[in-house]
Amino acid sequence: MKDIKKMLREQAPNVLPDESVKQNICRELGMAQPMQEQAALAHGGTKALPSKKTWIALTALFLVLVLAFCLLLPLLLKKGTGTGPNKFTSIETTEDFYVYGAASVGSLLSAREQAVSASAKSFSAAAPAAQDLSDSEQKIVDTVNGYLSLVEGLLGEGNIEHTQAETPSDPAYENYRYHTTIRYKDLLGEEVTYELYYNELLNGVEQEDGEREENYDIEGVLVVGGTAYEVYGSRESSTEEDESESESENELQFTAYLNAEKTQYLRMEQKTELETEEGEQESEQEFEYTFVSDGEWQERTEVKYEQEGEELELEIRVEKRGQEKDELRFRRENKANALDVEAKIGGEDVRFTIEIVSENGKTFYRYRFSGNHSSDADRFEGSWHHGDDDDDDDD
Amino acid sequence: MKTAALEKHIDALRAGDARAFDAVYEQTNRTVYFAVLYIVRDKMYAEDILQETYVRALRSLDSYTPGTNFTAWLARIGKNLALNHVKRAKREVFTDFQEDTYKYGTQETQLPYLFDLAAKILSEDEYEILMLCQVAGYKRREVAQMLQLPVGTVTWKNNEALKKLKKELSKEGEE
Repeated sequence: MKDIKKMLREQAPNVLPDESVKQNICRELGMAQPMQEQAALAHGGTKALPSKKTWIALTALFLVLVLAFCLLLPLLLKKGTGTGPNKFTSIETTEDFYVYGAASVGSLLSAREQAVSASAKSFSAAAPAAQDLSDSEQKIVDTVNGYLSLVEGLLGEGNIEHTQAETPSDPAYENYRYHTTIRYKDLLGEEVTYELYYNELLNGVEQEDGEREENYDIEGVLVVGGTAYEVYGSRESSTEEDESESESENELQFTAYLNAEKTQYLRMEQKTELETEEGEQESEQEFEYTFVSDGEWQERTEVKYEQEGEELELEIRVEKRGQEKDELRFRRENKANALDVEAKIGGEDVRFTIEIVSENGKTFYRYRFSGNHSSDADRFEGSWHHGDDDDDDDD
Repeated sequence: MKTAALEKHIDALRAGDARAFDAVYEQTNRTVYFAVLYIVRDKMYAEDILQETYVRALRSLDSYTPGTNFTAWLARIGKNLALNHVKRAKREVFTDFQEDTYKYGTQETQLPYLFDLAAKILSEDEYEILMLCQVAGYKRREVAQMLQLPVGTVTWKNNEALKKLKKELSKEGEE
């Protein structure tokens, strides 16, 4: 039955009604204009639409940051694996959920400051001399590496760690009961730290027909690089059982507001499902990131991590409003320090690998396409290395 | 899915607050859509009818009695529109509309086979529950609340629907 559920879920996007239906209804009812101009904000109120420049910057940032997290994920998983379960299968408590919620959203937010300068770097490196790649491959490398060069600070070697303090040490946050410090190291070994101050409210425990459900909300502040973002989260867990199967689900919603008016926010939804059927167990992790501005989603990214036996797989689907959906499937096998990527970018199917290589004190990404096409991409300046070539060919 | 919150949004909509439509639509459209899809079995027609349902319902919002299950009210409107559509299509195309649409070009957007099969072999409530739980991603508790059924019933029908589909697929695999 798991297969049928999976098939239904996979085909859902082809069956569920299009977003255009809603827009058509608004138009027919004469609500289209107000919906755009007075978009429903997270906490009420209205705001003028941001400039095109802001949209582009925010959208680009969002894409980049989501990919950063996606790439961070398998590396983190590698650290904890051996042959055992990855970290995410060990998420059990409310605290675990909040730590991962805060870590992923925090890692997205932490790169905000870097995004502009990193963007500039990637633009300046837009004319590399990558010669054994086809144009389409080069385009893919440019696209993907554009993200990687911006997010390398997030690909840390260390585990995500956290410590829970009894009460917030910073008097500015003394109204919050809980204080968690979340840490991990970037690829340079520098420690990245986020502070999460929050209050948690157990909304209640419901029990009905073998189903037990606990509901929590949290409200607080996530401090990333000295910047405090208001966050709001809720966690819901439930277990359902019948004679032949049991399902437990945990859902975490974690929202970080990007401006004081709360008109722009990044919402992460995490869903963990552990299913047991006829003695067979399967777990599934799903992360969804939605960037919302003035009441309308601008970009939705679905990150799905699956583990069956030794095989790790991470699937990312990025949907930008009004654009074709890009799909990236990262797979890591046998604990290799490489990611196999199957992607559909701009409607084109492509397979390649990204290896994180360290040589002579330099670290870079190595892309390998079919037909022995390969290219190395520098992590910092965007300059390119090819085979035995020197790296002085930036002209 | 909180009924009280939905009613609050409906009140706001009735009072002319267009922003409330967003929440109302998000909370109800899947139920209405699958009720319609079960009848018309075509994505494009189902979307058209979904649209028509909301337009009609919201234009006559005063005829809805608060607190009497808005989603069910919408779904009823949708189903009536869907049935009318099927009747009309039968008159226009002299064939078995349910079975042979693809042969006669009357089906605009063919559904993936599994969904077509589900609509053929499942009862209406099994289909709706399966779609809401497995495709729309609602929790059984939420579906129970939407359809005003006990959670146990939703769980049972969801499992029955899955079993029926599995059985049918296995049967087809053997043939």
